[in-house]
Amino acid sequence: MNLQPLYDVKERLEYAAIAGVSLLGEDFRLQRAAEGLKPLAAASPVFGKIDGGLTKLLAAPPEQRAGLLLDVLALVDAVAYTQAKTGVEGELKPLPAGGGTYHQISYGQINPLLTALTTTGGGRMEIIQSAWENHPEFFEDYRVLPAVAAGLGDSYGEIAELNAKILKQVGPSVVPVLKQGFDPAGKKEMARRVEVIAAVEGAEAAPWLREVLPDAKKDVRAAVITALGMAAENAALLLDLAKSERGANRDAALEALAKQDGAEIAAFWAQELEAHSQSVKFLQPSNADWASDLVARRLWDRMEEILARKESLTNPAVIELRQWFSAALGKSSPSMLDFWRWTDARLADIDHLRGEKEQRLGFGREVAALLLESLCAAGPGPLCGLCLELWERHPKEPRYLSHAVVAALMTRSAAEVYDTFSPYVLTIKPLLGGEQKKAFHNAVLRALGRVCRKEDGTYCIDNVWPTAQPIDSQWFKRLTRAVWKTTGETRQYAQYAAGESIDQFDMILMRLANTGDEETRRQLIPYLRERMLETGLPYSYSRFLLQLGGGPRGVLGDTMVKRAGAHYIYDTWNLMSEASKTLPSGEVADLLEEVLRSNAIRKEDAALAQRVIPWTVEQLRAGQPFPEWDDWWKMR
Amino acid sequence: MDLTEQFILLQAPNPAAAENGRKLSKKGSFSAHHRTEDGTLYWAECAGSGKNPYRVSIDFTNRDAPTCRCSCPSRQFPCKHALGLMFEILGAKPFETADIPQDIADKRAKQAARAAKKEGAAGEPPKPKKPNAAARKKKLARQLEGLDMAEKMVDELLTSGLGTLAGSSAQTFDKLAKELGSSYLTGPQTAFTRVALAVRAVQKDPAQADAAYNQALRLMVALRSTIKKGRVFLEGKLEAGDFSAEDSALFEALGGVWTLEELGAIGSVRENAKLVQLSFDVSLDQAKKEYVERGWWLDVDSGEIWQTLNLRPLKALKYVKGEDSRFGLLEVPALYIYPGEGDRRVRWESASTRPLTAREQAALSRLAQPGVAEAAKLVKGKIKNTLAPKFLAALLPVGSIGRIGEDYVLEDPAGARIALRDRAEDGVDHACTERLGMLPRKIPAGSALFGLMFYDGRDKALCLHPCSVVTPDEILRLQY
Repeated sequence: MNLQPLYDVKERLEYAAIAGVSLLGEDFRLQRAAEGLKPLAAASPVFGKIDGGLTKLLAAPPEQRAGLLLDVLALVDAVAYTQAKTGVEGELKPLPAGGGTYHQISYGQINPLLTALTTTGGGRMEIIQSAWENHPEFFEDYRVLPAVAAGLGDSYGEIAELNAKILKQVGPSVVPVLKQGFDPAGKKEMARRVEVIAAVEGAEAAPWLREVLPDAKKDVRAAVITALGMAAENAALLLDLAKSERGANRDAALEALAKQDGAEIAAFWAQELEAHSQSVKFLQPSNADWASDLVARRLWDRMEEILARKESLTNPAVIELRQWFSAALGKSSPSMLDFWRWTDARLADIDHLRGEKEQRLGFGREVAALLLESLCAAGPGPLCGLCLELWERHPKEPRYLSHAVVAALMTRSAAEVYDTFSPYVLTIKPLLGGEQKKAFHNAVLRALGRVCRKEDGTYCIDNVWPTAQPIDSQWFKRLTRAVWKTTGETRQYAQYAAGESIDQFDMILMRLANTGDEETRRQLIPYLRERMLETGLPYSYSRFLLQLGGGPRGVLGDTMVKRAGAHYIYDTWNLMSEASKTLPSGEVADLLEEVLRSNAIRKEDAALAQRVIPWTVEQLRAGQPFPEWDDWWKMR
Repeated sequence: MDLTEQFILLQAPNPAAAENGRKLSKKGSFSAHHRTEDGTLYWAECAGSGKNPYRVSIDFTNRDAPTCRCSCPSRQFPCKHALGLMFEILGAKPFETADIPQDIADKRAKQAARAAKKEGAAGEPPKPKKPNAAARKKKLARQLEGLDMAEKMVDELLTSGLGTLAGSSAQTFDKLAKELGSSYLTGPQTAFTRVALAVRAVQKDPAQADAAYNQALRLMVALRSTIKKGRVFLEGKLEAGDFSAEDSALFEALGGVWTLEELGAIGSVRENAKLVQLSFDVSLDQAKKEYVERGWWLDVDSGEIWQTLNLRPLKALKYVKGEDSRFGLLEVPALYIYPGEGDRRVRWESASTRPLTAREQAALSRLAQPGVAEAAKLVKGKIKNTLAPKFLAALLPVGSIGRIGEDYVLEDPAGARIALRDRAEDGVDHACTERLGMLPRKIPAGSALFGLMFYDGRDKALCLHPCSVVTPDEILRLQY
């Protein structure tokens, strides 16, 4: 049965309802549609009923039309529903398996995450991070993965970067999702997709990268070219791209070529550095021997030429030279080691280099510092040997002492390091050569400043390289008796303690200290109490003492007196609140009395101190807990 | 204690509370962990912003509905501290065995006494409520007056045309709609608000005109039907002097609200039902200004599909506990069923959850309709009723699912097909069809597809909005 007349009637009735039934009498299209329905009405009773309804509607007075129209429409709808079709013609193609997995994740868990990934506004980063920390498996779910992939284009860059990091860690299941709907001419989101695919698949991504390269534009093209560097088979293509591409894309080709290996690559770089000296920055991450040799050789030639010219260096020349030295960081091929030996031999000349205003550049010191950075970037290896060798060659100069301490920490026993280098930390003031000896002291401290103790009890350098052994505990005895309780370095700001600045020397001690070790505590507690008095900084040192299981009783008041009138009552409450967590109530009460006796609270808070401190002492002695800040503040 | 994360989330008043509880547990805010020998009570102290820690306890006397107690001043229940303590239990933190604290023992005793009293009262016949006939009569008369006004509104609106509903006329319309609420006709009131919202959507985005006017017209048709049938219904009650709730969908269409007691009184209750949730979703009802948390459930004994609706008005969001997806098998001692046809609404007072056995899971897909044709017949039968929603939840057997051109299509084992598409009315946040193309694994033989069957006027076809795939091994949810 041809139902078109029914649908025509339905359409006209709907138009009439939208336009208003007052115009119904003039609607000739509705009348024509009603006429069209007549043959169906003759054939079927239900259509006859609709026809009857339409006739009644068209003949009805205006005030009845609305109701009648809805009645007819209800009938038409019901017939339309019953006549609805279900079949779909055509060849059914099976669905491909998508990426990701399925997890039973409830609405309460998945919805906040999906909302954070797909909307804008504040607070989203925290939700994503928290979900990643607690439920990394959520991110593999096939409902979440596409949202994370789309989130690579998030308008908030940090979320986009976090999504990229997450996808890289989720692994291969993200690849089909990222490839689906990939637009090579897209924006940053697509470039990030390339980065993630390359990070996940590594060299295996090469065929896909080569496939999308011809259509890739702007950011995506640069990302594709960079990613091509992960597979050795792309070397020839990258060499071609380095010739054909310009600007950021050429830089990407150079970045990719820096990851390649082989004679052809080395030859390319030799030529490239000859033509574009500034391209050396791309070689910085490469630790390949050819790159190390190339940088060493060129840098060596450059330095020889500069020294031979005996002219002052222009600013651009200085910048370029620094770029070359930066490229040498972490490289340790034999040529590089020879280069450092050569710089050592010519250090005096290097130190005399002058800038364009004839000022001393201090390049010798800078080069020595760069060697220390290079050692810390490379970790245990040939540079350690070199640094120890240079130190042994110049034992009367402090120049390589920091290097030697770091190298020894990475390669030698704790006892050997202590025995060799602790004598440079003097415990008896020298009668002669104080300045020189202080320079040695500072060099050792500079090296120790790069070491920190981790929660698991191990020690590491620059948070990366583990020391060969945990440091010798004898250092604490030595350091606490040191003649110079300073490193000569900038003071470090201790954030939690009323804006006090602490000497790096004491910060180093606290970073190295095993607060649970009895011997260390025995050495450090009296030392820190003394230092507290010396420096007049009560808040930081008190906290150090509390960390070690000690306390500032007996020195707190005297320390505060040193800056009488400068102490805020809130800082006192903060410190005492902290102390009440580890010290017995009686001791906290004693501390408060010391503070009161010192009369060192600033004058604006003095009256409040006179009220709250005696009251708190009374509370503590009566076994009550230490009060909240609000309790003090309310008493003002 | 065999606690699961899912269980903790179900106890939480909202996801944020659960997350905050997890954070407390993670940062080590709990101390003095204790439990009783029998493992029914756990308690600990939790550091708060104040000096004194909060005392938190969880009483698992009723394992499905633990009693959480905390000394914090939070009005959320359970508070983040109690949820945090559950995470401590989940994280297998060491709890020292100790005797039950006296204050909790006292509270337990009081609780047990209350429960015993209630149980005792349950055995007795309920006290007959004295109906206030005069008040009910007055209410019916007021409703009839309201229906007259609603009819007048429909007439006026259609006389001038739906397209004219803008500016001051829209404001007058809103005002009149509100007055229907005073006539105890919240159903028609909501319908008018929906019409107004649909017409406003056209004014905001003319590209949506077809869909919005279509929706408004279907509402008007339903409204007309409600007014006509409602008038007969109310007049009949008035004449008969019968003022009780009745087993009729009209009762709700007019704005009636069922209590469990009333549902029990009309005998619309089933004992020892076993349900498995097939899908869960949340939507915002702009007209009623409330969140609708909807669960779709399969009755594993009868194969019927039920829906649960948890309504959370925006104004009282903090005070109404949110629902969440449920996994496993829910055993319901008394299932209260709302009047209506097909996928009827259900509620219960208490239920317990357990994991599905492999056998039970395998049997789920066998509860599907015999085929597309049979399901289509049921849907047509339902949606032609002017008062019924224009969709029906259905579980269809899968022969295969694939694509024809851009369309997703389900073919049942007999070769009958139905197009799979998202229902436009549900909005983009309910879109599921594309996810079929992302499913991590192939749909095995013997599976079924659960979804909402609806009529799509664009090509005059019945379609299925897919919600989950029920395989012999698992339920793969396309949404939540």
